[in-house]
Amino acid sequence: MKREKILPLIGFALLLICFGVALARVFSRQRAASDPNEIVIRIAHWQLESGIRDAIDTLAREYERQNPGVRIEQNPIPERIYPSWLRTQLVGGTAPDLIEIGKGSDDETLARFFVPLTEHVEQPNPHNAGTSIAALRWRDTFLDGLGGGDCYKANLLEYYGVPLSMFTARMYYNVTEWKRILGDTPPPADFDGFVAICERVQQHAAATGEKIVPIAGSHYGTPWFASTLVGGQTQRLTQRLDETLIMRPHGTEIALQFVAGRWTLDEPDFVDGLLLARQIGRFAQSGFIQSNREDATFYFVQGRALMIVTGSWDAPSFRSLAPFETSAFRFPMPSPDHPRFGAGTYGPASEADTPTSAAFGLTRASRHPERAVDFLRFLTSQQGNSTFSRVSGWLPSVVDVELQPLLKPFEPLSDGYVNGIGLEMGGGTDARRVISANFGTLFDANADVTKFQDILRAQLPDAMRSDLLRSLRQSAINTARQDTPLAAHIILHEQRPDVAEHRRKQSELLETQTMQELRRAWVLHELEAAP
Amino acid sequence: MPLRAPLPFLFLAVLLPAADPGDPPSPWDQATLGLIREAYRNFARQAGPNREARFGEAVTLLNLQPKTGANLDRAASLFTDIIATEPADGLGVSARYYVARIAHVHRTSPDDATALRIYRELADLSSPHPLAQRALVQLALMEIFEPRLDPAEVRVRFERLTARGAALTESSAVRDFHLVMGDAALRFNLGEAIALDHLLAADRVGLARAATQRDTWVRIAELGRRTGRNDIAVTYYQRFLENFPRDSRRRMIIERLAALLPTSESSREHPQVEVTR
Repeated sequence: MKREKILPLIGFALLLICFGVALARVFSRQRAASDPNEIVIRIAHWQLESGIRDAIDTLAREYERQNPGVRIEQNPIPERIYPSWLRTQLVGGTAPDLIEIGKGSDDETLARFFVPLTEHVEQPNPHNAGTSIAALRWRDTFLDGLGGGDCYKANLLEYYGVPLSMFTARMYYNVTEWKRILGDTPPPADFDGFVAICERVQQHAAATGEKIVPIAGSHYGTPWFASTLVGGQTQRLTQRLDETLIMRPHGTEIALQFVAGRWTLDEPDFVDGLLLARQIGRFAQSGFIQSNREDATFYFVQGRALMIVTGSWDAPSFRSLAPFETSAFRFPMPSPDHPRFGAGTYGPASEADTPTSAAFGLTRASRHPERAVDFLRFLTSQQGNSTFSRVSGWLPSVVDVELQPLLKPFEPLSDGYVNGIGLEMGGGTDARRVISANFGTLFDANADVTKFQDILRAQLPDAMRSDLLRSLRQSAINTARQDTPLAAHIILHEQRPDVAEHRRKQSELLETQTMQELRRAWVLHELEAAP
Repeated sequence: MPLRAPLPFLFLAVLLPAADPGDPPSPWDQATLGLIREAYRNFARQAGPNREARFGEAVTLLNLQPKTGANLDRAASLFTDIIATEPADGLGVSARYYVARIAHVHRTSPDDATALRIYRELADLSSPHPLAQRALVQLALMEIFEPRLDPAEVRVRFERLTARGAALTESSAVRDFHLVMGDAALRFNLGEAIALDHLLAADRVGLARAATQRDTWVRIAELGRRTGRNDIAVTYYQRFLENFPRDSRRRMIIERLAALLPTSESSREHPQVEVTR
């Protein structure tokens, strides 16, 4: 037979085989799902890192062992398609029982397709029996009390998520190269120590001809370090600007005061922050600010940079991808007794407010909601979360879980000070765009802080004003949305006076509206008065 | 292009079986869950002579997506009918409040004058209904924070509203009124002692959310410290530390507390306090 005739046949045969395999999988799945003696709980997420899948798999097998007749199926979905996949599953009524929330799950989606977990999180987690947290409400067993991240939805007044982890940003380093170039030098304790280390790496590269730079920079991670440095210098300035006397002024207040001219880009502490941030550019590869996250990761994993700034979520990937040992340290900052850069700072920035992450919600499509919630309880019990953290290499979300030595550098610093105004200066989308578009002026080889200030002076006030007006519109939308459930709770409270929940939620909604409208009134007042 | 994006979902919605709805909740329950479209449909089916259902239809129309001027007009018309039947009962008062809300926050172009007029009428009712009492909170927000006011006029309005606030009885309204007045006193330099008294009054009623508690307690403590009422400052710094073990302000609060407490007491209660900074 001629080759031209065989090729299409081979293609057709392959197509048939694929179709057959797909069909068999669908039927086998349906058969398994219809097995009356087996409960299947499906859990979906976008964490494709092998450590995370392994961790959930380990816990799933343990849960199955403890609960005969239950099977846990894990379904990792690529992050890029996650929102559309989620929507399709939810609309089609084919959603897994447990789904990671935070991408494509706005308030309306949660209200329509997910089950509130409030009643559950107000009760102790039975899987914590015999531990130090056995008597605590489930929500109080989490490091942030479920107050942050995607767990509590303020507009819906319900808890919808239960988290597995939390994240911090750190300076990672290549331990092998560190030892080779720097010997026994420990990670730097402050910014001067960091600069000295970077300069030694540069001297080593110059002396040996090796192509290695101190930091793999990118427009993804490097600005975090820069912003933290600026924030460190402006800790005292921020407290001076705290007109609301809450010790941690909201970003809107900072932006508003900027627009009103109560602080400027020429504040000495802020300028000091820029001077420190500029130094980072000296130590990264040339043109780094054009690099994205993947470029910088590639640079680091190839051993062409000693350090990289990124989040703790990348730790498992580095462990599996990098052909060398990695570790990390907190961003090095000038201490308060620094002769040149100590005046504006109180000390290391606290990370006590770090919210929990990787939260899972229960879908209304779940056929076994009680069992699914129980598996969530198991995953986030002290023991379960400890196993998750150990296998995944991610920080735990539950209190009193002992950290693995590898995770110690990522532990949030709880005993620190409120950080100051960062590089983003309390601004929103427009302000951030202006600032990031001009990073080159701050970080490039010809970096010039004065020029950076001049550009911001010209462009930032309009951008800040635009952000504040947008925040006003968003605030009005949020407040208006609460009017309908508020009316419902008032009516339901009249009809069911014995149900305390309606009175409580009515009170919470009114207080939420008051605080939103209070800020809105002040922003409007100040924008009208601003030059 | 914008039309194309939802097409696959519409297609799937037709092809795939819908999620099992279980027991259908009441339309008011649906409204509390944010299921506005479902609640609206159920109210609209029940409406007609049923006044509560007409109120439900109107109040869900406020947030039915897509939000349109026609929906708001229809809601306003339904509210007006409800008011015409009986303006001073629970539904009548609520309908009047929501007519003010339409003018105040729901329209693309707010009509503050209309909103103010209705809020004033509601506040004058002396009704115990939560939304009638809420009207005074709205009046405080609109009258004191009105842009470009002369400072003397701000003070006059503040004092007038302070006097009216004494008549409030509904707990949420009392709390929120004092939160607004405390904030205003601070923002407009009307006196830190006055701001402190208002915030203390709000806290006595009971703050509903942890986020408000955190910030208000810090504020009360700071105002106490600044006005020389150290006992209040100490009480609220300590209350904050006991209730919020994870907050980035703790270190600063511990230090401020240490400066207020005798050294021995400070080190006993908060061993990590450094008094030397």
